[in-house]
This record gives sequence, structure tokens and C-alpha cells, in this order.
Amino acid sequence: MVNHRKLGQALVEFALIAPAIFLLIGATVDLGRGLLIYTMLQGASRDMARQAVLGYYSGSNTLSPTCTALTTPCTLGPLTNGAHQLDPLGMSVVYQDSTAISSPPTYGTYAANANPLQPGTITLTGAINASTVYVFIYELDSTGGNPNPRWSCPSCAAASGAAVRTSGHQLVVVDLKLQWKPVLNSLLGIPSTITFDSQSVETLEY
Amino acid sequence: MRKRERGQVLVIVAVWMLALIGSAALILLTGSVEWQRNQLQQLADGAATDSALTIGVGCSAGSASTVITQADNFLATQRTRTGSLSIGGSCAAGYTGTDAFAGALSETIHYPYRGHQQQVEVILTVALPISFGNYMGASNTNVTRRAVGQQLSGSAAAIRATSLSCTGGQFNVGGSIAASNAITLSGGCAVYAHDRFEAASSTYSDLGNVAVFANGQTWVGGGGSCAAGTNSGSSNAVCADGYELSGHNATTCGTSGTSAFLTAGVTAINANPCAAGTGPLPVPPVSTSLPPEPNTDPAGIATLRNSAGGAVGSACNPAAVYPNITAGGVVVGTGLGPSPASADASGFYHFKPSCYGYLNLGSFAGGISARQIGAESARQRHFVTATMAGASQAGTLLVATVSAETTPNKFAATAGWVSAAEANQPGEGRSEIWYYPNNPGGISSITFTMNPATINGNAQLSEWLGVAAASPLDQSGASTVAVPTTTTVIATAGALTQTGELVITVDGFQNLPGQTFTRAAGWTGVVTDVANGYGSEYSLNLPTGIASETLTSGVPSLWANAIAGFKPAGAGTGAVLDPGFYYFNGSGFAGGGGICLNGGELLARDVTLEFVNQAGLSAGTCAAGGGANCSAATCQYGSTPCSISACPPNAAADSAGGGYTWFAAPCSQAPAGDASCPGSTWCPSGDRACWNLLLWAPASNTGQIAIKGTTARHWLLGSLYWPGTCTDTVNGTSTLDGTLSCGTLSVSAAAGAGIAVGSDYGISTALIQAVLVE
Repeated sequence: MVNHRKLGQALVEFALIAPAIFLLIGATVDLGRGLLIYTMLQGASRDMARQAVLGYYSGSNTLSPTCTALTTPCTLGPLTNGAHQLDPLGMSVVYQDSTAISSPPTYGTYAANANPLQPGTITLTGAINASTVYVFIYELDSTGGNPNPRWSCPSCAAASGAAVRTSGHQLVVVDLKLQWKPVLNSLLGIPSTITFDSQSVETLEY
Repeated sequence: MRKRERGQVLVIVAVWMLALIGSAALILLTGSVEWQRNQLQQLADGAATDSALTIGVGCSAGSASTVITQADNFLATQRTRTGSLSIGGSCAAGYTGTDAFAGALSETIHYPYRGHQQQVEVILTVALPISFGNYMGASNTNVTRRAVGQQLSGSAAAIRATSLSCTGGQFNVGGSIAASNAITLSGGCAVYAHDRFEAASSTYSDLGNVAVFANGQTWVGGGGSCAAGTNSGSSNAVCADGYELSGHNATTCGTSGTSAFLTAGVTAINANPCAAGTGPLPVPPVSTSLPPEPNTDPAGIATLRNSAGGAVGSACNPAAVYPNITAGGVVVGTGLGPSPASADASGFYHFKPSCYGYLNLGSFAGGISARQIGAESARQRHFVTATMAGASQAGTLLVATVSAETTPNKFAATAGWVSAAEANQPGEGRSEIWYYPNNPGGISSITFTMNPATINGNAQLSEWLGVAAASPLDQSGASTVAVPTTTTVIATAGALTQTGELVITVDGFQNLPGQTFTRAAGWTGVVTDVANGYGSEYSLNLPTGIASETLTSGVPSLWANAIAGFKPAGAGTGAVLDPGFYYFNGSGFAGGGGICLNGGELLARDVTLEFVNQAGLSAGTCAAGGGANCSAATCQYGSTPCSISACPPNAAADSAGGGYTWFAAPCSQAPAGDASCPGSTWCPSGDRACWNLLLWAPASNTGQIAIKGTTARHWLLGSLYWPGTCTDTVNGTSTLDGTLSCGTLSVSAAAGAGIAVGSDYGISTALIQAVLVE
């Protein structure tokens, strides 16, 4: 009886402690996964910014660079392909061209930096889905020209040109935003999400 | 039961540990991969751009080894080398270099990449161990990153202009053209962008593309056509060996085979936006990557000299007003620098780097100047010796005059001396002029033998710079007056063929009581010896035609006079800019200023020239806007380069070392075979403010580069950055081996003109020396 009582006691104790233990285990795994996503998001923005300033870049965020048609084609794909590095982690990618040369895509707002030659602040807006990489790519004119910043806007090409890359020390800013909802939040019914943001800046020299 | 309890905890801990370790391993692995990817990319980028800087002209086994070794050595500064560099291949197929480094890092380098002589590819791979990977069947994962770097002289267009207009002939460019506004054609003019292909290595250094930012470029005008790959035969068209692309928002392309001649070789390495359908390339106006102001460069400022030859010590002031600069006593401009007192052996005046208002070569009095004038000798019998204070300089002209008692016997001189003119008047005396052309140097005296041995005479010796080395005597004359008179005229028998000649006389007259002697106005006296009835004078600024002088004596006299005219070394005047930095602000010349040839010849080597305010560079006059066309027979920047034809006659005699052929920027590489541009003596390697930069002007400059007129010639080696207006008239020999960046550029070419702009000589002054292209 003593042994059975002890067994029961142990089960009760385990039952009491188990949620906390599994919560800790889950949190550990979630935290690791979050770090993984954030690290990969940083890598993606770095890669995209680097590609955006290359000499063979075509000027389009969604089309392949010009070197893909060579006899020995280059390995570069469309600029937005870089954000798809997170696809294996279950992330999806959203990119839209802007509707005005001076405005960000509809899923974000842009607050200019006090120094117009420095990147501004982007905030996601509208119906934002979790586990989705929202892509922002724009160009800062090194001479503070107008419009500044310049966003890709094919629909306003007649006025401002579709291509957003102009050479001569212009800065290209790639800003990736991702709302991540930990698994535990889903299990526990907690609605809040964490927004990951990775910004990379490169200079056009060609 | 205690054992069962221990088991429960063990299971819990095991599960927990598994989760913890698994998560940690995953994070570590992914983090490590990301870190390695980032590190490798930075290494690859650095190695590619670093090695691209070593890319030179052409491709050979040696140059490929240099480029590949540079990339390998760059990596060796970042990682420990564990292998050894192995290089194999050929220029046509590409060389491949491989090496290994600590941390399972392997390296592969390809040069030339895809047959593009100025591109190098660096591939880095690291085998990254996976924690506990053996339990999952994979002990490591490979991370590979690559980069392709390109040397900038291959990525910078030979011509950049906001507005480019072609007004006549076929204007050939060795390299690419980038224009902001649509290229305009008139007078049947054609612009042709040629690729730069080195047959010896089957590689390209430039693909000859034309990119126009504006929409709607017309590639072939009415009745126009392009003759593929040749320097002639095209008219009223924009032609290219590479692609032709117009429009930043509405793309139009040249027609393949009609105006865009994309050969199979070019197509293989030339990304053609039209063929790929990937949208328009951004075509820049004058890029901000072009060179900085030289007047802010300490290396340039350090070369500035004041009037005493010392250092100015500070940057030039754009608002400064400068004192006059003279050359040979004649005002030729304004500036802080020293005034050259005399010309060199070739007749060129040397100017020093300094702050200037303007230099007007048309102001030169003549190319001939006196190096030294000896004193008249004492009266001597049978042998008369004239001396100078110093030994002569090789290549100069020596002139001696002799005045002696009358004798029918011509005097004799030592070897090398030539008689120019003589006159003998019984009752008065004998006068002679002798000269020694292109003397070997070291001569300080001349002895004449007079016969019979009882003859007494005087002599005088002088040395002259800037006289033609071969056959300098143009005209001579002699006159004798047998009836005493107070006035006589001595004149050359024929007309002087050039201006600026040295015309020298010897005058023999009687020493009578109360005698006086007066030479004509404008002549400079050398000898005035009334006691011995001996005079001599010279003039350097007579016009073409008969040269004559009126001589006057106070007492009627018999006369025995002679005259000789000697030609200057070149067909006109000339100047040399010695190595260093020159700054022109236009002061002292109303409305314009800068440098104007105005019929002159300007040579330079290892120089960088800056022009501010209204100052310009003109082959004509210094008037605002570039002045009129050059109309003189000689009107040129630089002289025929040895690599193009025979070296100029002034090469050997030039006192600064000789061989000013290319009007060259610092550090420039002269074309093969032309050793006249050995490299900078003042611009530090890698200093972008002076490296390869020949001309620079700020955007505020209102002056022009104006090389206009069919006789204007230029051999410019370097990079020209001029945001304002440029005019380039190219004849059959002129060329600009470098890059030309202008706001408004008007070009034309005469029949037979070759490549007018562009070269394979590594001319680039851009701030960024190499770029990544992949």
C-alpha cells in the first residue's frame, strides 16, 4: 500500500508538473524555431540587397536579370526569389509593386527618416497574415532627388519609369517583415504575434 | 519502487533533453550555415573585387596568373592556406585556379570569366559539419557562394554624355556609349560603338554597347546604314557591335544585323536586355562615380609652384587674380607659377604646375631664344677666337660673326661650322656670319683663320635655343657700299618663309673721326664697336618676307654687311606642361581664359588639369565659348605618338627627357611601343583624384572643351570629365585614348579617322575601381 500510495503520489506530482514541463519544452522548441526564422530572414534580405546592386540586374524586382539569357547563363533569379528562402519553414511570400513611385506597396506604410539619405520606417498595414514574408524594396537617391525614395511602379512608368535602379551611389533598401506566431500561442489560443524585421542596405556602384 | 521513480524522471529528462538538444542543434546548424553563407559571400565579394583591380590590358598566361593569384592571396589573408594554388587553362577557354584553406574551404577562380577579359569569378565552398549528423546519414553540408568582379575600365562607358550629337563623318568609339538624351545625327554623321576584342587571347574587354536613357532613339535615319565592324562606310546611324537599347520606360532596341551587330562571340557574354525581354536597363547620365575635384587632392596641391619655384602650399583659389606669366619676355598668360625665361633645345617653353588664369600659346613671340651671348673678342691677328661664358648645350644653334680688315680670302673655321653669309668691301673690311647647326654640345669658343696672316679682326659667338636642328638657314644676304654713305640697307636675298625666325646681321663700317653707328629700331644689339667699325644685332619677330634693316652712321662710310635668317624648330610656337597639377580659373582674360592653342602646340605628360569659372580648353582662341576654329597649320595637343608613327623630331632634344607625344594624365599606360609616358612622378598609385585623370571641370564651369577645325589635332591619354559643353573634331590622326564624359558633346570626324575615343589602356578615374556584376 505504501508503494501504491507513492506511485499515486508520483503520478499526481507528474500530472501537476507535466504541463509546465511540456510548456517549457514547447517554448524551447518554439524559441529555437523563431531564432531560425529570424536568422534566415536576415540572410534573405542580405542576399536580395546584394543582388539588387549587381551590374547584371535588370531593373525589375520580379523579372530575371539580363545574364540569364547568356550562353552560360548566370544563376541569378528574380530579386524577389530571395525571400523564398524561408519557404521550407512554411513561410509564404508577398510582394506587390507600388501604385505610385513615391509610395510603398499597399501592405505597408513608410515614414521617412529625418535624414532623407537614410532608410525610413516601414509598418505593416491592412490584413496581415502570419507566417508570411512581406517584401519592401526601394531606392534612396544619394543626392536627395525627387522622388525619394523610389518604389517600383510599373503602372506609373510613363511618368517616372518602371525601373527603380539608377546607378551612381544610390542606396537600395530591402526590408523584409514577417509576423510570426509561435506554436504555443496557437495551442494556448493567444492571438498575439511577433513581427520580425530585417533590413539590408547596399550601394549601387555600376 | 525507487527504481521505477528514477525511471520516470529519466524519461522526462530524456524527452526534455532531446527537445533541447535537437532545437539547439537545429539552431546551431542553421545559424552556422547562415553565418558561413554570409562570411563566404563577403570573402567571395572581396576576393573578386580585389583581384579585378589587377586586371590589365589584354589576356595572357602571365596576366591570368596575376589575377588568379591575387584572389588566392586575398583569401590567404583571411584564412589559413592548406593547399597550393593550381592554375590551368587558356585565355580563350578561361583559366581556372584552385586552392584549399583551413576549415574545409575550397576555392575555384575563373579568369577570364565567360571570355570577358575584365571579369573574374570566385567560387568558395565550405563543407560544414552537421552536429550529430552521423545519426541522420549526413555528416556535413556544403555551403557555396560565388561572386563575379569586373574591373571598372571595362564597365565604364568610353563616352558618357547627357546630350550627344554627331555632325559629320563617322565617329568611331572603342567601347560603349551611354547617353541620357536621344543621340542626334546631322550631316550624314554616324556614331559607331566598336567592341574591343583581343584576337591574340580571344577575349573581349568591352562589348561596344549603346544605351540611351531617353525613349524612342532612332538607330538608323533616313537613307542611313551601318557598315558592320569597320571605321568607315556608315552614315546617318547609330551603330554598335554590341546591343542598342533605348528607353527607361518604353524600350526600343536596335535591329540585329542592321545597326546592332551582335556576333556569336559577343552574344555569348553580352547580356542583351532586348533578347532576354527582361526590361530596360537604367542608363545613367553623368555618373557620380566619376572622379573627385583634383584641387582637393593633397598630392595635386603639393605639386603647385610659386613664381620662385617653391611650393604654393595650398589649394588654388577660384576667385584669385594672378600676375602676368611671361615666356621669353612676352606675356602669355596669368598665374602664380614661374615664367620660363627661355625655351628648351626644341624651342618649347616649360611651365610648372601652379594656379593659372589662362595660357595663350598664340601670344608667344617666337620659338627661338638666346641661351647665351658671348662678348666681342679682342682684336686679333691671323687667328681670332670668340668665346662664350659657358659650354654650349647639345642641339642648339651657334652663330658667330666676324668683322675684319679687308681681304679677298674667305675665313676658315673649325669642322662643323658653316658659312652663312659674307661681304668684303675694299677700303672698309670683310664681314662674315657662320653657324653651327645642332651642335654636339660642350662648345664655348670658335677660332677663325684669317688670311693673309697680317689680317686683324674681331669676332663674337652666341647660342640659340629653339632653332631647327636640320638645315636651319632659311635666307641670307650681303651688301657692300663702295661710295661713302651714312645710310644703307642690309636685306636677305629671298623672303623669310616663317615668322619667329632668328635674323642676325654683321655690320662693317669705317672708323672715321666723329663716327657713330645706329641700328634700326626693333633690333637687339649684340656688338656695337665703333672703334673697330663692327656692329651686330638680331631680331626674333620679323614677319615672313624679305628681312631688312637700315643702318646709319654718323659720318659717311663704306659698308660691308651680311645678314642671315634661321628657322625655328617647329612650324610654330610651343609649350610644355611639366608633370603635376594645373588649375585654371580664367582670370586675366576677359570672358574666357583657360588654355587656348590659338595656333600653338602644347605638350604635356603626367598632368591633371582643372578648369573652373569660365576657363576652357580650346584649340582656337581664349574667347568665351571656346573661340573660333583652329586655323593654323600647327594647332595640337600632344604630338604624333611613337606608337602611331615616327616619333616627333623634338623627342631626342627635349630637355625634360624627350618624347612628349601623348598629352597624358598621371599613371597612364601608353600604348605598346610608346615609352614616352612612363608613369606618374607625383600621383600616388590609387589616388582617384589624379589617377588617369587628364581634365576635370565642376558642373558650374561655363567654359568648353573646344577642339574645332579640321587642322586641330590631339593625342590625349587619360580620362576627361567635363559636365559642360565639349566639341571634338577628329581628323585622321587625332584620338583620345581614355574615357570622355561631357554634359553636351558634339562630335564629328574627317574621312579616314580611326577610333576617336576609347582604348584598352586601363583608363579610368572612377571612384569605384571594380564592381560586382554577379
